[in-house]
Amino acid sequence: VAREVRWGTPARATRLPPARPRGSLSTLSFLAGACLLAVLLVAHAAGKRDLASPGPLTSRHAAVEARCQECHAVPARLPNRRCERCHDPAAGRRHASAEHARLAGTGGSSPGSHPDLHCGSCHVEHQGREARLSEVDGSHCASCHFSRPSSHPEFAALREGRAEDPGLLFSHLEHVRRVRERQGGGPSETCSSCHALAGPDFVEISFARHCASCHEKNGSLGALDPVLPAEVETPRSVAEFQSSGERIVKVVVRHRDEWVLRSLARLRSEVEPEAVIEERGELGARLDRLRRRLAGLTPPAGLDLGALRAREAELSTELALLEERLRPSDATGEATAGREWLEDALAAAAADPRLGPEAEALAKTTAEDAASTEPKGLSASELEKRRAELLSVLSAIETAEPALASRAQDLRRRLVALRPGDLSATALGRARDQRLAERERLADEVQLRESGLAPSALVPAAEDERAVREALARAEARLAALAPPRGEPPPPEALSLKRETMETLAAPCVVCHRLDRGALVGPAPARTVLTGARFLHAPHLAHASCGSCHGGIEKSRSSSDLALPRVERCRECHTPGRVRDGCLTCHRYHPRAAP
Amino acid sequence: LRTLDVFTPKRPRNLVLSLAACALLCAAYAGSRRLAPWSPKHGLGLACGVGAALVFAANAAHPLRHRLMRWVPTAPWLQAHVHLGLVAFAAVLVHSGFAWPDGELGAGLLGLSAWTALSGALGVLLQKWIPARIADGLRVEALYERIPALREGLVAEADARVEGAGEVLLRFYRRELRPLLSRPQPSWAFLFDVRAGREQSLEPLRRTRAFVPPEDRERVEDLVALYTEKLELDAHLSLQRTLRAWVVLHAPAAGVLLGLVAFHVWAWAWY
Repeated sequence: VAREVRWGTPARATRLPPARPRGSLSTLSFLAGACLLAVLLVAHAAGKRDLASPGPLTSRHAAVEARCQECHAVPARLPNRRCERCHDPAAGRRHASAEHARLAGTGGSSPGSHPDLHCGSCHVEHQGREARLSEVDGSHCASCHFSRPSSHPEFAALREGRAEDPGLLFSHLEHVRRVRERQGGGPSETCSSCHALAGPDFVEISFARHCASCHEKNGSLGALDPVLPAEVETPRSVAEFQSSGERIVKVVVRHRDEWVLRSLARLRSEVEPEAVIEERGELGARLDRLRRRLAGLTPPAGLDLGALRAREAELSTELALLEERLRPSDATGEATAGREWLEDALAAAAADPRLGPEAEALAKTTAEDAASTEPKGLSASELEKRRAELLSVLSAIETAEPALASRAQDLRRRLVALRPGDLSATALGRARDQRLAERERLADEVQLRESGLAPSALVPAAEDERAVREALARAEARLAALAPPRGEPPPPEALSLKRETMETLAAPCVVCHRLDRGALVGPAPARTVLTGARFLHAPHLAHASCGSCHGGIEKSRSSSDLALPRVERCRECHTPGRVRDGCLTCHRYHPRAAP
Repeated sequence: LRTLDVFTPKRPRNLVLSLAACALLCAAYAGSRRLAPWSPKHGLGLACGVGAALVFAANAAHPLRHRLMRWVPTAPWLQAHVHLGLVAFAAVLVHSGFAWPDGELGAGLLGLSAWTALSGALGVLLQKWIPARIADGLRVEALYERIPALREGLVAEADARVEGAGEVLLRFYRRELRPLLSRPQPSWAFLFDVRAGREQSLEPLRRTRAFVPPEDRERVEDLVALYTEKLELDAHLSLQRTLRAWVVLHAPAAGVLLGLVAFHVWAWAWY
């Protein structure tokens, strides 16, 4: 019988099978994983940091690809201050979430549900060289606001009936009629004769370009009524003057006429000294703010160790002063911050014969306040009165005692920033918190330098340096032109004559401008009506006429009328599938850096 | 055995549960993506990352199951290993936002996760396919480690059987058959058909019957039976080797993945 293939397990083996090694593969696998981990950690410690990177940085940040500590504070999370090393040079904290809430009109007191929102939550890095950090997904907004454009509320300007005065007396009705009579054309041509596009938006309205052709004749707005020479400034050239008995007549008055403005400024300092003092105080405070900002324009990341330490020392001195002023308030809860210093300053001022009575009166009021046990804020009128008094004394102290100038400037800055109902301790506390945050930033930067990190090569040019310098120059020029009031106030009959002269001088101006407490209010044509959003006219005019949004503007008699369209008008086009409807099409998160 | 039977789960309830967990993760991802931009560092993205890392660590303990919890039978361990691994891979995809990461580390992590999950799935299919094929198509049963000894035994038996055979059979055996008997001949074809090539291999031997004297024909029949057994051993060798070699695709990748995950977690905590 032939052999058959057997079923089942053959039993012919004469020896045991070799023992199979157990677990050798898994052991080797674990060892491979552990070795890899060790190699990666050693390589990281040796400086090969990109191994831990979740992706390449954007091209702007590519130079710090392997210098993680430029942005990361280790071992910790990504703190905002590492971004602010370069991106918030003047320590304005304008990128903070609280600033966004302030921009939205909540006063910065309720920064939504993200008080500590990290920059990196919206500006996500490590997304590759081509990624654009400024392009933020609008759905970030939905967690606090709303998810669909159809839920967009009515514009606050319309909801609250906000009508900002641009400081110009202007009637569209009259101007549209005149323009149509003169050049004909349809509604759009009429509008564009003044509102001409230059780039993405309209060119700013200026007298020379838009008004002079009608309002001037041979370069003159007309002639002034006669005024007494003693009441006005001496003209530098008499070519445009005529005499009329005891009085003089300016027969050619130009726009922004230098003699008229100088004469008005002189008269104002006599007629409205409080207004001048207040304006000088505000200008002084603005100058202090701008100088401070200019001094801090080089971001911490771009400073060497010496400069950082110097800046840190300055801050420490300021903080020590603030702490000293705040100490009584902290201890007793009274609104007496800075009082001791003010009392010292007033005592010094009382010794000066020129300031004696005024300083004594102020010292008395301050002492009465000190006797009060209840902390209280001042009403708006009380605050204005006290502020004018204090500003006047501060200016005098600054002139009389140069050693006190920096402290006087500091006090002036905070005095101007005070709002009705504020307690000085609140303002001081805010200032202290700001300085503390700034010092913390500098301390972090010093630590980086001490760890061997060189000043960053990535520090961007201060984008707003030019704007700050220009604003500073403007404010200095305005302050120089605004002489402080001198001498005793004129008697009532002389005051009446001066007021009359002011009105005469301002007569050609008040056709279009307002006279407020003796000062001509400058127009603010570039003001932002939609404070929380940006709007460009050019792309919209490519698809719609002026009247389709600003219907009825041609019948307006007030410059504060804008005939703003309601939000429904925007929704007609800004819908999914038609025109971009993301939040960031119109809104921005961070406030502008402009001074 | 129908091909589709391979995809029939041993415990359907576990598969349904793990698929439901995957679907739930994807639905949660889609929902949160509508509400806010996706970030692996916050909310669901972070939770999925942490969860996946923990499951990877737990699954890595699979080879140590007998030491860790010897009272738990192997089947539940294996079920947990497979289904948790599936859910963990879904969590990795959600963690990455269903996008290929930009960095080398992220790419390595996602690539290795995918490789480990796919090789694991391949292993599950092979574990269901191969034993059924062996049981269904082969008569001989053999332990992998004993196959060489069994083959040697077959050669010895064949040598003994051809002793005293005629010149033709002896020459054929020494020149053609013995080398085939003594040499293993693994083939991928056995994976799809355990009898692949058997008839073609036996045909020359069967044809020899016509050329040998009548007294050697029974020897030829015996040689056919021996060679058939050797072909079955070859099938065993191929299939069992595949069953074991599959782990080489899975385990080292899982070990490296675990190392990368540890580095990733460290980098996340450090930065």
